[in-house]
Amino acid sequence: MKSLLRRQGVRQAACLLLAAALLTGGVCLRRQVFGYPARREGQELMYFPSGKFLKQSALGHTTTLADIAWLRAIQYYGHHRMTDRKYEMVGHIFDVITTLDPNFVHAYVFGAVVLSQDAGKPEEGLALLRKGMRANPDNWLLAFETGFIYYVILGDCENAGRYFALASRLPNAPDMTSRFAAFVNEKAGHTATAFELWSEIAKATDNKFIKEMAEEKMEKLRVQLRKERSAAAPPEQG
Amino acid sequence: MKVLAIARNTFREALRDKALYVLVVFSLVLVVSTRILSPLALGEGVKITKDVGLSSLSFFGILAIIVMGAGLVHKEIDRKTILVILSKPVARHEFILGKFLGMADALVTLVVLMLITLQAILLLSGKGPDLPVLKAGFLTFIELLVMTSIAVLFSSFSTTALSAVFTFAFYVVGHLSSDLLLFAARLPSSFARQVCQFMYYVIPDLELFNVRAVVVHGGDVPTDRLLAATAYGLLYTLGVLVLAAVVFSRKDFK
Repeated sequence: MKSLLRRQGVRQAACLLLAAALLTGGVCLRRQVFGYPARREGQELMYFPSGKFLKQSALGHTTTLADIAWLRAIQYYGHHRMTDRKYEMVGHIFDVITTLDPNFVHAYVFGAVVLSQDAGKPEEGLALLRKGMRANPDNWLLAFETGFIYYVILGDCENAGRYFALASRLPNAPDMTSRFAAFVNEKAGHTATAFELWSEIAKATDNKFIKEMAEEKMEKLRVQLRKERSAAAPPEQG
Repeated sequence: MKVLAIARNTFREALRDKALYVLVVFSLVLVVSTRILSPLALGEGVKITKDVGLSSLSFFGILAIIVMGAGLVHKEIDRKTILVILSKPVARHEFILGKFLGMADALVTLVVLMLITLQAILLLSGKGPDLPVLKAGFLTFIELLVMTSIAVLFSSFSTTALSAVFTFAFYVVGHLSSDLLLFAARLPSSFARQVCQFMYYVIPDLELFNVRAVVVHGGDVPTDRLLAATAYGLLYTLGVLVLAAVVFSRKDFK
Protein backbone atom coordinates (compact mmCIF):
# COMPACT_ATOMS: atom_id res chain seq x y z
CA MET A 1 0.00 0.00 0.00
CA LYS A 2 2.81 2.34 1.01
CA SER A 3 4.78 1.63 -2.16
CA LEU A 4 1.65 2.21 -4.24
CA LEU A 5 1.15 5.62 -2.63
CA ARG A 6 4.85 6.43 -3.10
CA ARG A 7 4.63 5.45 -6.77
CA GLN A 8 1.55 7.65 -7.19
CA GLY A 9 3.35 10.56 -5.52
CA VAL A 10 6.37 10.17 -7.78
CA ARG A 11 4.09 10.05 -10.84
CA GLN A 12 2.28 13.22 -9.73
CA ALA A 13 5.56 15.03 -9.07
CA ALA A 14 6.82 13.99 -12.49
CA CYS A 15 3.60 15.29 -14.08
CA LEU A 16 3.98 18.61 -12.23
CA LEU A 17 7.59 18.91 -13.44
CA LEU A 18 6.50 18.13 -17.00
CA ALA A 19 3.74 20.78 -16.77
CA ALA A 20 6.23 23.35 -15.42
CA ALA A 21 8.71 22.51 -18.21
CA LEU A 22 6.04 22.82 -20.91
CA LEU A 23 4.76 26.15 -19.53
CA THR A 24 8.31 27.54 -19.22
CA GLY A 25 8.97 26.42 -22.80
CA GLY A 26 5.83 28.23 -23.93
CA VAL A 27 6.83 31.44 -22.09
CA CYS A 28 10.38 31.32 -23.55
CA LEU A 29 9.02 30.74 -27.05
CA ARG A 30 6.62 33.66 -26.70
CA ARG A 31 9.40 35.96 -25.52
CA GLN A 32 11.72 34.83 -28.31
CA VAL A 33 9.21 35.05 -31.13
CA PHE A 34 6.96 37.93 -30.13
CA GLY A 35 9.14 39.96 -27.78
CA TYR A 36 7.84 42.07 -24.91
CA PRO A 37 4.46 43.74 -25.28
CA ALA A 38 6.10 47.18 -25.15
CA ARG A 39 7.88 46.45 -28.43
CA ARG A 40 4.55 45.78 -30.10
CA GLU A 41 2.71 48.71 -28.58
CA GLY A 42 2.43 50.89 -31.70
CA GLN A 43 1.22 47.98 -33.79
CA GLU A 44 -1.35 46.96 -31.17
CA LEU A 45 -2.93 50.38 -31.11
CA MET A 46 -3.32 50.28 -34.90
CA TYR A 47 -6.04 47.70 -34.34
CA PHE A 48 -7.71 49.64 -31.56
CA PRO A 49 -11.36 49.68 -32.68
CA SER A 50 -13.19 52.95 -33.28
CA GLY A 51 -14.85 54.64 -30.32
CA LYS A 52 -18.28 54.45 -31.98
CA PHE A 53 -18.01 50.67 -32.38
CA LEU A 54 -16.80 50.23 -28.81
CA LYS A 55 -19.58 52.45 -27.50
CA GLN A 56 -22.22 50.27 -29.16
CA SER A 57 -20.70 47.03 -27.92
CA ALA A 58 -19.94 48.22 -24.36
CA LEU A 59 -23.47 47.51 -23.06
CA GLY A 60 -23.46 50.51 -20.75
CA HIS A 61 -19.88 50.04 -19.54
CA THR A 62 -18.49 52.79 -21.78
CA THR A 63 -16.71 54.76 -19.06
CA THR A 64 -14.91 51.63 -17.86
CA LEU A 65 -13.73 50.93 -21.40
CA ALA A 66 -12.60 54.57 -21.58
CA ASP A 67 -10.52 53.98 -18.44
CA ILE A 68 -8.86 50.93 -20.00
CA ALA A 69 -8.11 52.96 -23.14
CA TRP A 70 -6.80 55.81 -20.92
CA LEU A 71 -4.37 53.44 -19.17
CA ARG A 72 -3.23 52.13 -22.58
CA ALA A 73 -2.80 55.71 -23.84
CA ILE A 74 -0.58 56.60 -20.88
CA GLN A 75 1.54 53.49 -21.42
CA TYR A 76 1.81 54.30 -25.14
CA TYR A 77 2.77 57.92 -24.47
CA GLY A 78 5.24 57.04 -21.71
CA HIS A 79 6.90 54.37 -23.86
CA HIS A 80 7.36 56.66 -26.87
CA ARG A 81 8.43 59.60 -24.71
CA MET A 82 11.26 57.49 -23.37
CA THR A 83 12.21 56.02 -26.78
CA ASP A 84 11.56 57.47 -30.26
CA ARG A 85 9.25 60.42 -29.38
CA LYS A 86 6.90 59.44 -32.22
CA TYR A 87 3.23 59.61 -31.33
CA GLU A 88 1.42 58.44 -34.46
CA MET A 89 -1.54 56.78 -32.72
CA VAL A 90 -2.16 59.41 -30.03
CA GLY A 91 -4.92 61.17 -31.98
CA HIS A 92 -6.80 57.93 -32.57
CA ILE A 93 -6.60 56.65 -29.02
CA PHE A 94 -7.71 59.96 -27.47
CA ASP A 95 -10.57 60.11 -29.95
CA VAL A 96 -11.62 56.63 -28.80
CA ILE A 97 -11.38 57.59 -25.10
CA THR A 98 -13.42 60.76 -25.52
CA THR A 99 -16.05 59.05 -27.70
CA LEU A 100 -16.51 56.42 -25.00
CA ASP A 101 -16.58 58.98 -22.20
CA PRO A 102 -17.48 62.45 -23.54
CA ASN A 103 -17.15 63.98 -20.04
CA PHE A 104 -13.55 62.83 -19.52
CA VAL A 105 -12.14 66.38 -19.44
CA HIS A 106 -8.58 65.36 -18.52
CA ALA A 107 -8.40 63.10 -21.56
CA TYR A 108 -9.22 66.04 -23.87
CA VAL A 109 -6.67 68.26 -22.14
CA PHE A 110 -3.86 65.71 -21.99
CA GLY A 111 -4.55 64.46 -25.53
CA ALA A 112 -4.57 68.02 -26.92
CA VAL A 113 -1.33 68.98 -25.18
CA VAL A 114 0.43 65.81 -26.39
CA LEU A 115 -0.90 66.22 -29.94
CA SER A 116 0.06 69.89 -30.13
CA GLN A 117 3.31 69.88 -28.21
CA ASP A 118 4.84 66.43 -28.68
CA ALA A 119 3.28 65.12 -31.89
CA GLY A 120 3.49 68.51 -33.64
CA LYS A 121 -0.17 68.38 -34.70
CA PRO A 122 -1.75 71.44 -33.05
CA GLU A 123 -4.75 71.37 -35.42
CA GLU A 124 -5.62 67.85 -34.24
CA GLY A 125 -5.15 68.97 -30.64
CA LEU A 126 -7.53 71.88 -31.22
CA ALA A 127 -10.05 69.56 -32.90
CA LEU A 128 -9.97 67.31 -29.83
CA LEU A 129 -10.59 70.29 -27.54
CA ARG A 130 -13.44 71.53 -29.74
CA LYS A 131 -15.00 68.06 -29.46
CA GLY A 132 -14.63 68.40 -25.68
CA MET A 133 -16.27 71.85 -25.68
CA ARG A 134 -19.23 70.53 -27.67
CA ALA A 135 -19.76 67.79 -25.07
CA ASN A 136 -18.96 70.00 -22.03
CA PRO A 137 -19.96 73.54 -22.97
CA ASP A 138 -19.68 74.78 -19.36
CA ASN A 139 -16.15 73.55 -18.72
CA TRP A 140 -13.72 76.49 -18.48
CA LEU A 141 -10.59 74.32 -18.63
CA LEU A 142 -11.25 73.18 -22.19
CA ALA A 143 -11.70 76.76 -23.43
CA PHE A 144 -8.61 77.82 -21.49
CA GLU A 145 -6.49 75.01 -23.00
CA THR A 146 -7.69 75.99 -26.47
CA GLY A 147 -6.55 79.54 -25.83
CA PHE A 148 -3.29 78.19 -24.48
CA ILE A 149 -2.55 76.17 -27.64
CA TYR A 150 -3.47 79.12 -29.87
CA TYR A 151 -1.20 81.43 -27.93
CA VAL A 152 1.82 79.35 -26.99
CA ILE A 153 2.02 76.91 -29.88
CA LEU A 154 0.44 78.70 -32.84
CA GLY A 155 1.22 82.27 -31.71
CA ASP A 156 -2.32 83.30 -32.66
CA CYS A 157 -3.11 86.05 -30.14
CA GLU A 158 -6.52 86.89 -31.60
CA ASN A 159 -7.98 83.39 -31.20
CA ALA A 160 -6.13 82.88 -27.91
CA GLY A 161 -7.71 86.05 -26.50
CA ARG A 162 -11.16 84.88 -27.63
CA TYR A 163 -10.84 81.53 -25.91
CA PHE A 164 -9.29 82.95 -22.71
CA ALA A 165 -12.18 85.42 -22.56
CA LEU A 166 -14.66 82.58 -23.12
CA ALA A 167 -13.00 80.55 -20.34
CA SER A 168 -13.25 83.48 -17.94
CA ARG A 169 -17.03 83.71 -18.48
CA LEU A 170 -17.69 80.02 -17.76
CA PRO A 171 -18.79 78.70 -14.33
CA ASN A 172 -16.06 78.14 -11.69
CA ALA A 173 -13.36 79.71 -13.87
CA PRO A 174 -10.42 80.94 -11.74
CA ASP A 175 -9.27 84.58 -11.87
CA MET A 176 -6.21 83.75 -13.93
CA THR A 177 -8.39 83.11 -17.01
CA SER A 178 -9.50 86.74 -17.19
CA ARG A 179 -5.90 87.83 -16.47
CA PHE A 180 -4.70 85.85 -19.45
CA ALA A 181 -7.50 87.17 -21.59
CA ALA A 182 -6.39 90.68 -20.74
CA PHE A 183 -2.68 89.93 -21.26
CA VAL A 184 -3.15 88.31 -24.62
CA ASN A 185 -5.58 90.89 -25.86
CA GLU A 186 -3.07 93.58 -25.11
CA LYS A 187 -0.44 91.45 -26.85
CA ALA A 188 2.02 92.49 -24.19
CA GLY A 189 5.18 90.59 -23.19
CA HIS A 190 4.69 87.34 -25.03
CA THR A 191 7.54 85.45 -23.37
CA ALA A 192 6.50 86.50 -19.89
CA THR A 193 2.87 85.56 -20.58
CA ALA A 194 3.90 82.22 -22.02
CA PHE A 195 6.02 81.61 -18.93
CA GLU A 196 3.11 82.47 -16.67
CA LEU A 197 0.76 80.23 -18.69
CA TRP A 198 3.07 77.25 -18.39
CA SER A 199 3.67 77.88 -14.68
CA GLU A 200 -0.09 78.03 -14.02
CA ILE A 201 -0.48 74.74 -15.89
CA ALA A 202 2.39 73.15 -13.93
CA LYS A 203 0.73 74.28 -10.68
CA ALA A 204 -2.80 73.20 -11.63
CA THR A 205 -2.18 69.75 -13.09
CA ASP A 206 -2.06 66.38 -11.33
CA ASN A 207 -0.70 64.85 -14.50
CA LYS A 208 3.00 63.98 -14.08
CA PHE A 209 3.73 64.21 -17.80
CA ILE A 210 2.08 67.61 -18.26
CA LYS A 211 3.94 68.90 -15.19
CA GLU A 212 7.27 67.69 -16.59
CA MET A 213 6.48 69.16 -19.99
CA ALA A 214 5.49 72.50 -18.43
CA GLU A 215 8.66 72.61 -16.31
CA GLU A 216 10.81 71.89 -19.36
CA LYS A 217 9.11 74.74 -21.20
CA MET A 218 9.43 77.09 -18.22
CA GLU A 219 13.16 76.43 -18.06
CA LYS A 220 13.59 77.36 -21.75
CA LEU A 221 11.40 80.44 -21.36
CA ARG A 222 13.33 81.51 -18.23
CA VAL A 223 16.57 81.57 -20.26
CA GLN A 224 14.85 83.47 -23.05
CA LEU A 225 13.37 85.97 -20.61
CA ARG A 226 16.80 86.58 -19.07
CA LYS A 227 18.23 87.25 -22.55
CA GLU A 228 15.36 89.61 -23.44
CA ARG A 229 15.79 91.53 -20.18
CA SER A 230 19.55 91.89 -20.55
CA ALA A 231 19.08 93.04 -24.15
CA ALA A 232 16.48 95.59 -23.06
CA ALA A 233 18.57 96.90 -20.12
CA PRO A 234 20.42 100.21 -20.77
CA PRO A 235 24.18 99.76 -21.35
CA GLU A 236 26.36 100.41 -18.28
CA GLN A 237 28.22 103.71 -18.37
CA GLY A 238 31.97 103.40 -17.86
CA MET B 1 -45.33 33.17 5.06
CA LYS B 2 -45.07 30.37 2.46
CA VAL B 3 -43.49 32.84 0.06
CA LEU B 4 -40.90 33.75 2.70
CA ALA B 5 -40.14 30.07 3.37
CA ILE B 6 -39.50 29.47 -0.35
CA ALA B 7 -37.45 32.68 -0.54
CA ARG B 8 -35.35 31.64 2.47
CA ASN B 9 -34.73 28.24 0.93
CA THR B 10 -33.78 29.75 -2.43
CA PHE B 11 -31.40 32.15 -0.69
CA ARG B 12 -29.82 29.26 1.22
CA GLU B 13 -29.42 27.34 -2.03
CA ALA B 14 -27.76 30.35 -3.64
CA LEU B 15 -25.34 30.63 -0.72
CA ARG B 16 -24.46 26.95 -1.11
CA ASP B 17 -23.66 27.56 -4.78
CA LYS B 18 -19.89 28.01 -5.17
CA ALA B 19 -20.46 30.14 -8.27
CA LEU B 20 -21.70 33.02 -6.12
CA TYR B 21 -18.51 32.99 -4.01
CA VAL B 22 -16.35 32.90 -7.13
CA LEU B 23 -18.21 35.91 -8.52
CA VAL B 24 -17.99 37.81 -5.23
CA VAL B 25 -14.25 37.12 -4.86
CA PHE B 26 -13.56 38.05 -8.51
CA SER B 27 -15.45 41.33 -8.26
CA LEU B 28 -13.84 42.28 -4.94
CA VAL B 29 -10.36 41.50 -6.29
CA LEU B 30 -11.12 43.61 -9.35
CA VAL B 31 -12.22 46.60 -7.24
CA VAL B 32 -9.27 46.32 -4.85
CA SER B 33 -6.84 46.02 -7.78
CA THR B 34 -7.82 49.51 -8.96
CA ARG B 35 -5.89 50.84 -5.93
CA ILE B 36 -2.77 49.25 -7.39
CA LEU B 37 -3.49 50.76 -10.82
CA SER B 38 -4.01 54.25 -9.37
CA PRO B 39 -0.39 55.45 -9.69
CA LEU B 40 -0.47 54.59 -13.41
CA ALA B 41 -3.67 56.54 -14.01
CA LEU B 42 -2.17 60.07 -13.84
CA GLY B 43 -4.64 61.52 -11.34
CA GLU B 44 -7.63 59.51 -12.57
CA GLY B 45 -7.32 56.71 -9.99
CA VAL B 46 -10.53 57.58 -8.14
CA LYS B 47 -12.50 57.73 -11.39
CA ILE B 48 -11.15 54.32 -12.38
CA THR B 49 -12.02 52.88 -8.94
CA LYS B 50 -15.61 54.14 -9.23
CA ASP B 51 -15.91 52.95 -12.84
CA VAL B 52 -14.56 49.46 -12.21
CA GLY B 53 -16.52 49.13 -8.94
CA LEU B 54 -19.87 50.08 -10.47
CA SER B 55 -19.26 48.18 -13.70
CA SER B 56 -18.31 44.99 -11.89
CA LEU B 57 -21.42 45.36 -9.73
CA SER B 58 -23.55 45.27 -12.87
CA PHE B 59 -21.43 42.72 -14.76
CA PHE B 60 -21.02 40.19 -11.94
CA GLY B 61 -24.63 40.73 -10.89
CA ILE B 62 -25.86 39.76 -14.35
CA LEU B 63 -23.44 36.80 -14.36
CA ALA B 64 -24.91 35.65 -11.02
CA ILE B 65 -28.42 35.90 -12.50
CA ILE B 66 -27.40 33.94 -15.60
CA VAL B 67 -25.51 31.28 -13.63
CA MET B 68 -28.00 30.84 -10.78
CA GLY B 69 -31.24 32.60 -11.73
CA ALA B 70 -31.71 31.02 -15.14
CA GLY B 71 -32.21 27.59 -13.57
CA LEU B 72 -34.22 28.84 -10.62
CA VAL B 73 -37.56 27.24 -11.55
CA HIS B 74 -36.47 24.72 -14.15
CA LYS B 75 -34.06 23.01 -11.73
CA GLU B 76 -37.00 22.21 -9.45
CA ILE B 77 -38.94 20.80 -12.41
CA ASP B 78 -35.93 18.80 -13.56
CA ARG B 79 -35.35 17.29 -10.11
CA LYS B 80 -39.12 16.72 -9.70
CA THR B 81 -38.96 18.54 -6.35
CA ILE B 82 -41.63 20.85 -7.76
CA LEU B 83 -44.15 18.01 -7.38
CA VAL B 84 -43.39 17.75 -3.67
CA ILE B 85 -43.66 21.53 -3.20
CA LEU B 86 -46.86 21.93 -5.18
CA SER B 87 -48.49 18.98 -3.45
CA LYS B 88 -48.38 21.16 -0.31
CA PRO B 89 -50.80 24.08 0.01
CA VAL B 90 -48.53 26.38 -2.00
CA ALA B 91 -50.00 28.36 -4.87
CA ARG B 92 -47.96 28.52 -8.04
CA HIS B 93 -47.68 32.30 -7.96
CA GLU B 94 -46.37 32.03 -4.38
CA PHE B 95 -43.68 29.66 -5.62
CA ILE B 96 -42.63 32.09 -8.39
CA LEU B 97 -42.60 35.06 -5.99
CA GLY B 98 -40.62 33.10 -3.38
CA LYS B 99 -38.04 32.06 -5.97
CA PHE B 100 -37.69 35.67 -7.13
CA LEU B 101 -37.34 37.04 -3.59
CA GLY B 102 -34.72 34.41 -2.69
CA MET B 103 -32.61 35.35 -5.71
CA ALA B 104 -33.12 39.04 -4.93
CA ASP B 105 -31.80 38.36 -1.39
CA ALA B 106 -28.64 36.79 -2.84
CA LEU B 107 -28.22 39.83 -5.10
CA VAL B 108 -28.65 42.19 -2.13
CA THR B 109 -25.76 40.37 -0.41
CA LEU B 110 -23.58 40.72 -3.52
CA VAL B 111 -24.45 44.39 -4.04
CA VAL B 112 -24.02 45.38 -0.37
CA LEU B 113 -20.66 43.61 -0.11
CA MET B 114 -19.38 45.29 -3.25
CA LEU B 115 -20.65 48.74 -2.30
CA ILE B 116 -19.05 48.48 1.15
CA THR B 117 -15.73 47.49 -0.44
CA LEU B 118 -15.99 50.31 -2.98
CA GLN B 119 -16.78 52.90 -0.29
CA ALA B 120 -13.91 51.60 1.86
CA ILE B 121 -11.49 52.02 -1.06
CA LEU B 122 -12.82 55.51 -1.77
CA LEU B 123 -12.40 56.36 1.93
CA LEU B 124 -8.80 55.13 1.79
CA SER B 125 -8.24 57.38 -1.24
CA GLY B 126 -9.67 60.31 0.72
CA LYS B 127 -12.71 60.61 -1.59
CA GLY B 128 -15.36 58.81 0.41
CA PRO B 129 -18.02 58.17 1.47
CA ASP B 130 -19.55 58.95 -1.88
CA LEU B 131 -23.37 59.22 -1.86
CA PRO B 132 -23.83 59.42 -5.66
CA VAL B 133 -21.91 56.12 -5.96
CA LEU B 134 -24.43 54.56 -3.55
CA LYS B 135 -27.29 55.93 -5.68
CA ALA B 136 -25.69 54.46 -8.82
CA GLY B 137 -25.26 51.15 -6.97
CA PHE B 138 -28.92 51.23 -5.97
CA LEU B 139 -30.05 51.78 -9.56
CA THR B 140 -27.80 48.93 -10.68
CA PHE B 141 -29.56 46.76 -8.09
CA ILE B 142 -32.95 47.74 -9.58
CA GLU B 143 -31.58 46.79 -13.02
CA LEU B 144 -30.56 43.41 -11.56
CA LEU B 145 -34.08 42.95 -10.14
CA VAL B 146 -35.56 43.53 -13.60
CA MET B 147 -33.15 40.98 -15.06
CA THR B 148 -33.94 38.48 -12.27
CA SER B 149 -37.65 38.71 -13.04
CA ILE B 150 -36.88 38.07 -16.73
CA ALA B 151 -34.72 35.06 -15.77
CA VAL B 152 -37.55 33.71 -13.60
CA LEU B 153 -40.02 34.17 -16.49
CA PHE B 154 -37.83 32.24 -18.93
CA SER B 155 -36.97 29.64 -16.33
CA SER B 156 -40.68 28.97 -15.76
CA PHE B 157 -41.17 27.53 -19.26
CA SER B 158 -37.72 26.85 -20.68
CA THR B 159 -34.59 24.84 -19.92
CA THR B 160 -31.73 26.28 -17.86
CA ALA B 161 -29.41 26.72 -20.86
CA LEU B 162 -32.06 28.41 -23.00
CA SER B 163 -33.15 30.67 -20.11
CA ALA B 164 -29.54 31.75 -19.66
CA VAL B 165 -29.24 32.57 -23.38
CA PHE B 166 -32.58 34.42 -23.45
CA THR B 167 -31.75 36.37 -20.29
CA PHE B 168 -28.38 37.42 -21.67
CA ALA B 169 -30.00 38.38 -24.98
CA PHE B 170 -32.48 40.58 -23.08
CA TYR B 171 -29.57 42.19 -21.21
CA VAL B 172 -27.82 43.02 -24.49
CA VAL B 173 -30.95 44.30 -26.23
CA GLY B 174 -32.05 46.14 -23.08
CA HIS B 175 -28.89 48.24 -23.25
CA LEU B 176 -29.39 48.94 -26.95
CA SER B 177 -33.16 49.48 -26.89
CA SER B 178 -32.92 53.19 -27.72
CA ASP B 179 -31.27 52.20 -31.01
CA LEU B 180 -34.49 50.42 -31.98
CA LEU B 181 -36.19 53.81 -32.36
CA LEU B 182 -33.35 55.00 -34.58
CA PHE B 183 -33.69 51.88 -36.73
CA ALA B 184 -37.45 52.36 -36.84
CA ALA B 185 -37.07 55.88 -38.19
CA ARG B 186 -34.94 54.61 -41.08
CA LEU B 187 -37.07 51.62 -42.06
CA PRO B 188 -39.10 51.99 -45.27
CA SER B 189 -41.94 49.65 -44.24
CA SER B 190 -44.47 51.08 -41.79
CA PHE B 191 -45.19 47.59 -40.40
CA ALA B 192 -41.48 47.07 -39.61
CA ARG B 193 -41.41 50.52 -38.03
CA GLN B 194 -44.35 49.64 -35.79
CA VAL B 195 -42.75 46.31 -34.83
CA CYS B 196 -39.55 48.17 -33.85
CA GLN B 197 -41.52 50.71 -31.82
CA PHE B 198 -43.48 47.92 -30.12
CA MET B 199 -40.23 46.12 -29.27
CA TYR B 200 -38.80 49.37 -27.90
CA TYR B 201 -41.61 49.60 -25.35
CA VAL B 202 -41.69 45.87 -24.52
CA ILE B 203 -37.95 45.42 -23.96
CA PRO B 204 -36.74 46.98 -20.70
CA ASP B 205 -34.69 50.14 -21.18
CA LEU B 206 -31.72 49.17 -19.01
CA GLU B 207 -29.87 52.38 -19.84
CA LEU B 208 -32.32 54.19 -17.54
CA PHE B 209 -30.54 52.53 -14.62
CA ASN B 210 -27.09 53.49 -15.90
CA VAL B 211 -25.90 56.69 -14.21
CA ARG B 212 -22.24 55.64 -14.00
CA ALA B 213 -21.10 58.21 -16.58
CA VAL B 214 -22.44 61.02 -14.33
CA VAL B 215 -21.32 59.63 -11.00
CA VAL B 216 -17.71 58.80 -11.91
CA HIS B 217 -17.11 62.46 -12.82
CA GLY B 218 -18.31 63.62 -9.42
CA GLY B 219 -21.86 64.44 -10.55
CA ASP B 220 -24.98 63.63 -8.57
CA VAL B 221 -28.09 61.69 -9.60
CA PRO B 222 -31.16 63.95 -9.47
CA THR B 223 -33.79 62.62 -7.06
CA ASP B 224 -36.56 62.69 -9.70
CA ARG B 225 -34.40 60.57 -12.04
CA LEU B 226 -33.68 58.14 -9.19
CA LEU B 227 -37.35 57.84 -8.26
CA ALA B 228 -38.59 57.59 -11.84
CA ALA B 229 -36.06 54.88 -12.74
CA THR B 230 -36.85 52.97 -9.53
CA ALA B 231 -40.60 53.16 -10.19
CA TYR B 232 -40.09 52.03 -13.80
CA GLY B 233 -37.89 49.14 -12.68
CA LEU B 234 -40.29 47.96 -9.98
CA LEU B 235 -43.34 48.20 -12.27
CA TYR B 236 -41.54 46.28 -14.99
CA THR B 237 -40.38 43.63 -12.47
CA LEU B 238 -43.90 43.19 -11.08
CA GLY B 239 -45.35 42.98 -14.59
CA VAL B 240 -42.88 40.28 -15.64
CA LEU B 241 -43.46 38.35 -12.39
CA VAL B 242 -47.24 38.35 -12.99
CA LEU B 243 -46.56 37.07 -16.50
CA ALA B 244 -44.25 34.38 -15.10
CA ALA B 245 -46.93 33.35 -12.59
CA VAL B 246 -49.53 33.06 -15.39
CA VAL B 247 -47.17 31.01 -17.58
CA PHE B 248 -46.20 28.79 -14.64
CA SER B 249 -49.81 28.27 -13.55
CA ARG B 250 -50.63 26.86 -16.99
CA LYS B 251 -47.68 24.46 -16.94
CA ASP B 252 -48.48 20.78 -16.92
CA PHE B 253 -46.00 18.63 -14.96
CA LYS B 254 -47.20 15.22 -16.19
